Amino acid sequence: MFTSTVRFTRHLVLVILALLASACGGGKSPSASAPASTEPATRPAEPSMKDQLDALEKQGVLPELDRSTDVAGPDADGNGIRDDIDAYIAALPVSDEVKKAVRQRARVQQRSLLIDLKDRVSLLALSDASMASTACMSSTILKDVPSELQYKILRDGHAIALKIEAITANTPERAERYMAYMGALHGTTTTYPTGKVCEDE
Amino acid sequence: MNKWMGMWTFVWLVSWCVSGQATPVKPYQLCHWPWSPSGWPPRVAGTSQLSIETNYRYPSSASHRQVEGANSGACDLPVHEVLSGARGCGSSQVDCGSDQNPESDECGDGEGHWADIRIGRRWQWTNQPGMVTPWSGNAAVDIWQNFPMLVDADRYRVWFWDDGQPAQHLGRTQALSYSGQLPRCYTMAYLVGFFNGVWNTRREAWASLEVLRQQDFIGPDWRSAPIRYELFYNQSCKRSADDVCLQDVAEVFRQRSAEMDGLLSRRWEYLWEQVTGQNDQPGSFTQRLVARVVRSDRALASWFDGLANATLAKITALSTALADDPPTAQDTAEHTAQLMRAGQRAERAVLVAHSQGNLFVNAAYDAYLAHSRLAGKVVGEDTGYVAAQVVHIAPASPTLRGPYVLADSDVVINGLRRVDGTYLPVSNVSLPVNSQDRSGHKLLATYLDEAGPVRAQIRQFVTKALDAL
Repeated sequence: MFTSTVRFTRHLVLVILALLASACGGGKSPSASAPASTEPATRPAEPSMKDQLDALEKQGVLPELDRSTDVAGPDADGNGIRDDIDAYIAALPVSDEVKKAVRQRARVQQRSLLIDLKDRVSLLALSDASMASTACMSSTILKDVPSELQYKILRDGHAIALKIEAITANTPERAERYMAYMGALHGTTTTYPTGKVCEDE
Repeated sequence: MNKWMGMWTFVWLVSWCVSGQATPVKPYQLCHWPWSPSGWPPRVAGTSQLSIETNYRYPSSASHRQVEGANSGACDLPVHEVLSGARGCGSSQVDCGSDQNPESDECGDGEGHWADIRIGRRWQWTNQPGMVTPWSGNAAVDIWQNFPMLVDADRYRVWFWDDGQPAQHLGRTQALSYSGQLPRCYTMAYLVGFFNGVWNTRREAWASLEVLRQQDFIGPDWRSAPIRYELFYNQSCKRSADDVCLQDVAEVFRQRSAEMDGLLSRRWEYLWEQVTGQNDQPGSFTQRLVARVVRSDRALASWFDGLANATLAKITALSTALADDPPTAQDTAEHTAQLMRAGQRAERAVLVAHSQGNLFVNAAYDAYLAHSRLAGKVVGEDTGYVAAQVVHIAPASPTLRGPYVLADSDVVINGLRRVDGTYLPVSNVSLPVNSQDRSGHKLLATYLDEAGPVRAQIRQFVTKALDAL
């Protein structure tokens, strides 16, 4: 009985001493109190640029576009605008009237990828339609804008149209087609239209 | 009689004054005098070929472009000499009667009978057409004719059968007289053509034309004359029949997009932002991408910087090649044909060119001038003139046909000069480096930037050119 009491007391003292040691030296000597480990601490892995880019597209910060090898791309509703571009336009922070003008622009842009470049008549007609869509976009976006703001608003309109151009020809195959279209129009002239330039939808 | 005369004079003068203020003064490009007894006005350089369809071959001349003041004349001869038929004077009988019965309209012979004669003392055509019709060759051009002549006339009472009885001066009146079809004047019409740089997409070239047309730049008309705006599109670097300059720029992107594990190899919207300069604009896809895709070594930002520099280098190389082998008349045949059609439509042209577009405008202008001279030579009238003016912006061409602006911060043109030593126009405007256009070469972001000083200079060149036509 005495032996078990002495043994218990010895254990108790050891526990108390260990507790005292950890309380006094825990901040300065972690290895003294931490359980023994052979592996260093690791930081979370940096997401890859691809993952980040994919996430941005999912969040809508960047447009989530069709990138198939098909030049035309999907157009389920057959309105002449690729479905992903339809979605992009729908999400633009502009009025419905401006969106309508942007869709006219997008239709013409899409046709530039699909037109028969040897059909000169159709090519020039599309060129005229393209110019009309430019004029429609500008007249729509500048409607009721005071003169001192017109320059800035016109540039904003151009920025939208240039984005439509960029996302329509967004793959190597589509870009090749678009460059061929531009090349086919080398040497031509197109008059800036007057009168009715906006199409009815 | 005098009381009524005074009243009618007053009415005529008032109506002339009022109508003169209501009718806007419009510039004419040609006033045609199909015939003139005295051969007035003299046609330009003795030509007999001046017509509205060939008017583009003739330099601007006040003598055949104005009505007011033209064919003016005066007669200061005494009454008896006028009535004797002196040349250069005219008279008309306006009333007759007799001293015995002044109110009678009976024109009789014999003593006491008189006739009232009106003699024109000063006359000139006034700028108020009696008839305006559109010209069949171009609905934007009107034909003004039946201009009235403003006549100051003296009225005399003459006793033809009473020898020694002097003519009695009854006063002077001023009135408008509509003399018929002469002259016939054609109103002004302009063409403003834009020749784009080959580093332009189709959409960008349209945007440039549109900015020229805006009311806060040139506008849809100039001094009441309509302007037709036309894009003269260029995209060939002349290496093959279906050559497209932008292919070279695309190849730069294609090669570089294989880097970074092909992250952007199927994201060619970033190519187009590079081409159009939108990559440097706030809100662009490029700006959003670089800002939000994070990597500790800034790999993406560095990649885009490298792409921009490589693209600029490629554009400079393309420009050098084009300057070494510039477009010829054959290369610009379609554009020249369009200019000739414009001339025949009585459109006087101002041609604005940017970057490599200056090489194309030079060739087209030279060909248009050559056509004008040849067509004139055929009828013995080579005036050495064509109704076109050129304004150069950031010219990538060693020769010029008009005034120019070139910024010292234009990396493309300055690079062009260094690479091959070709003499190019010296930069004549100082611009700070533009964060929204690192090339310093873009038309819209730099040269026509509303906040920049060059825009006003370019506008001045264009409006001066319009006035010179």
